[in-house]
Amino acid sequence: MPEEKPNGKNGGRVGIVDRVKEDVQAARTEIPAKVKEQIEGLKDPTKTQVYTSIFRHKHDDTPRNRALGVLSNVFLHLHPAKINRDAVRYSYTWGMGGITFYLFIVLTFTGVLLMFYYHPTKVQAFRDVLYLEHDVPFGKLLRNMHRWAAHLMVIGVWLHMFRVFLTGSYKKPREFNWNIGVLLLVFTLLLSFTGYLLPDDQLGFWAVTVGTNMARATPLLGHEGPFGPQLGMTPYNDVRFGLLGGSIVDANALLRSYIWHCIGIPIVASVLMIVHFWRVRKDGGISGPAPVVLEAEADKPRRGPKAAGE
Amino acid sequence: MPDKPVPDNDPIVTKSYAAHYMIATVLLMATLLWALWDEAFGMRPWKAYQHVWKDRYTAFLKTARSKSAASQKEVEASPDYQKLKENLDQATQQATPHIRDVQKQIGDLNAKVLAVQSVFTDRRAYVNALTYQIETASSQSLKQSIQKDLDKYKAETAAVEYPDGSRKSYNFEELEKTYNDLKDERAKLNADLGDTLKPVTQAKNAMDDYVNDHMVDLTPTQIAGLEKKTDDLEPSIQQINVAEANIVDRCESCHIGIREPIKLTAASMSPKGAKTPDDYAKAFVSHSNAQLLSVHDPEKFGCSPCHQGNGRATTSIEKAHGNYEHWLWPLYVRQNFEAGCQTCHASDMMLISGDVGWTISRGKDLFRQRGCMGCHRY
Amino acid sequence: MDWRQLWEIMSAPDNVPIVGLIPLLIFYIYLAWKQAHANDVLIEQLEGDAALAKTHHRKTWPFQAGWQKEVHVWPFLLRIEFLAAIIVTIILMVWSITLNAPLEEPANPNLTMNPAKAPWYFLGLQEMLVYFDPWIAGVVMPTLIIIGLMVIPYIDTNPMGSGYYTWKQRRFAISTFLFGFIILWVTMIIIGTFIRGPGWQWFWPGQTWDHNRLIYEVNRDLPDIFGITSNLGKGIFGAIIVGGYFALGGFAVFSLFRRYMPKDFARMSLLQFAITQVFLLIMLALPLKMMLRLLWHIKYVWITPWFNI
Repeated sequence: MPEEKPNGKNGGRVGIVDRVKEDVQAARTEIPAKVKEQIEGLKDPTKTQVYTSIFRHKHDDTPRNRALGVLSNVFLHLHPAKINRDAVRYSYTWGMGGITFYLFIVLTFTGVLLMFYYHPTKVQAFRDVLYLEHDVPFGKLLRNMHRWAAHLMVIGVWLHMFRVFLTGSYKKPREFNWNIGVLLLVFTLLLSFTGYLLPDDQLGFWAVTVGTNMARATPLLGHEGPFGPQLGMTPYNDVRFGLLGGSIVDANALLRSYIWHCIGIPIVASVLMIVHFWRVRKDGGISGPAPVVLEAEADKPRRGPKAAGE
Repeated sequence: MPDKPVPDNDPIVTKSYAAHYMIATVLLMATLLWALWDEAFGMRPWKAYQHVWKDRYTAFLKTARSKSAASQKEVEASPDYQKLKENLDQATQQATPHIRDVQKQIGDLNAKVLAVQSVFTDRRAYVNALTYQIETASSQSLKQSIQKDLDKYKAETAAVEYPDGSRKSYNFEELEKTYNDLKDERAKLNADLGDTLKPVTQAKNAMDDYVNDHMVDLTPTQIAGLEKKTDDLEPSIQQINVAEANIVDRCESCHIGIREPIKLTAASMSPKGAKTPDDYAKAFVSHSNAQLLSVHDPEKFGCSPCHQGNGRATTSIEKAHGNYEHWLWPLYVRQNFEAGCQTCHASDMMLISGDVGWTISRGKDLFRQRGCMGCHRY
Repeated sequence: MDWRQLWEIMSAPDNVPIVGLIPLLIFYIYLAWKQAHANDVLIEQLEGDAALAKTHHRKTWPFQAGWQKEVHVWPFLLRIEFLAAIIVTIILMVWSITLNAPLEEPANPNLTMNPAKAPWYFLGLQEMLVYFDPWIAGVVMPTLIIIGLMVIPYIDTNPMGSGYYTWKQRRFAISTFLFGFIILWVTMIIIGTFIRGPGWQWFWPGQTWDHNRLIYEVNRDLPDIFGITSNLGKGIFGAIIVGGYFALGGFAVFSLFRRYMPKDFARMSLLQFAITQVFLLIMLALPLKMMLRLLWHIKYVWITPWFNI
């Protein structure tokens, strides 16, 4: 018990009852005030702490916010804040790079879902595809989307390469990025090729047999290639053996195909894509449409500010 | 720095994509709904099959039940049955008073047992806990001290309140004995009840056996059972799964009536007024040659070892029957169904059982005698 | 005219992408040509009028003073990208609902499919196997294609056409690429898909794919036509032919470049020119060898104990 007690209204000692009375009185005024404050605060949700912690800038339509919408967003800051006015026209870029990347995302998504229902073994692979087609919920849709998106992606990659070539967008300073793109083309084709074997049906099996049989003809490294046998290459130790994990397309080939298809090549391709997108920005963004250059001006070094219209 | 005011005639910034988005959104929603519909119904025709089955089989069973009831009445009218019924009535009459008496006693005992149980089980639980501590105590002295506590507890008395209002106090030993004695008594009474009921049950069984032996078809009770089963049926994939043999047969998802105990024909499964059986009616027929099924239990054999087809397929008739490109084992045509016997009975020279097997045996004969392999490549 | 056969080939699920690729390519080539033509017209106009060349904004699309040269990505680019994603999704969904991915018989190493075809994007390489040994068609050629593609930016010294479509300013580059991509790569895929049937025999569209068909075709080697029989002779003869092709071809390329593309030639270093020559000649060797085989039934030109070309 404290020695001194606080003084109450009449200067006398304050007991528990008085204290409780005081608190009740205070509650009567303070709590309604707090309630009013809270309601006021919620009237504009965009000013709450939760909102401002997620969305770090305003969204009313000002040029600053338009720029920030792109620059401060981790997914969108692939883009610059502004681009060449005519680059938004579909006819220039055909959108094929973006479409290819979108298809890659679709393939990854459907691919991951398919992985839940597929076992890369000789006993189960074929059956699993049958199950996907007939009883897995949305299995048929998933498998079909995966296959057709793969074909579309190969076509998209070719059209993208075609467009980049026709607009000369591989010329200085974009030579290196073109080469990254060539590598991405190769990996896209390899992704498609490794996936081809996975249903373990006649179509996939023989396609991969044809493909890997070409490997045994590699000069120096294949047991049927020029100078291969001279270097000690046999069906059991040449580059084809390394690809298949055996001398025939069998269970090991299926497993390796699966690993390349789901993990190995996607990782490499993702890294290359990161470099590819980075270089697009660093090399000056979308190449055009650029102002036409006349032959007479072609060899002159550029000096000073850009020519009219650039 | 704010942008300069934009002149209105700049096509890039003034063009509206609202119409494009509208069309694209509508198309996208439509395709998504289409995908959902396809997923739920389009590629699951067995759902429709099972819904139609419920309607048609229920209607069929209704007519079957009335026929069955009529037939059962006939059987029950026979003099033998009447005699059995008399026996039953007599036995029941004799047994009833004693049964009632015993049942009342058992009821009383149940209440008593419950009263003792609620007290006893609680005290027993405590005793068991202490006993555990004694057994696992590390030192002898601790053991002894807990044992002392245990003995003290066991000597304490607890009161049991009986349903008739009386109270009695027991210590632990007495409580246990009372509990066991009451239960023994109840067991004795139950045995007595059983003995008394035996002649009644026997007489009843004799009556039922008579009906079952003399009725050609199912009894109304059995048919009512089938009706209930059909009513409770939720459409789902019906599957026979024999993992060791890689058999996954979903044929019964559409051929739901194939193993029903009552004989179904395409005509009886057709909708009312239909001139010819439709696809549904043809699918619902019973398996012919029921004796084959008794020797080849479908739960172990599935359907595809004898009939071929694609057991796992459920999305269409062509797929399920394996009648599409790239499936190497299409369904055997009806006239050739005996070809399926070759799967296992390839080495048998003769394969006849009742009506079944004549065609294939003749075929085997011809094959061996005529030497087909001499000219035709395999 | 076996329409059923034609329909069977075209509707095979994995052939549908190629059937779709053809109109797509035609459309995009047309789109590119339209813009190239417009640019070329503009270039001609500007080359004839120096004053205009100084003030024109140099693009075929309109531009007025006061219009922004650069527009915000949000919303003007992003709305296009989003729309494109939606449209691609629609196409993909409709395609996936209506057409099933193929699943053929379970893999059977003892039963070869006839024809056993590689996936469609590799059919070009498989077609090359008819004319070259596997080590060339399957290993060397694909490697050279990849390296050749990678080398393009470094041998293209033409400073014009960077960032816009044009034909007149980049005739050589575009025709070479079109030749390699459309004439060689895509056409070989079309041949591999629609023309090559059982036994990899040539079936015109509308001919039934009969795996019992027998044809009479005798291929000879080039040394045999010239009556050379000894191994050493064949080796030397082949070396002369191949070496001669590169030497004469190289000289021809040099002459053509010098005469018709003097400015480009002047810009190129020796290394750039040499690389251009080598890849150009190897690329042309493919249709040459194809013609030798298809028209004159000649199989090998250079025979050695270790490799044949």
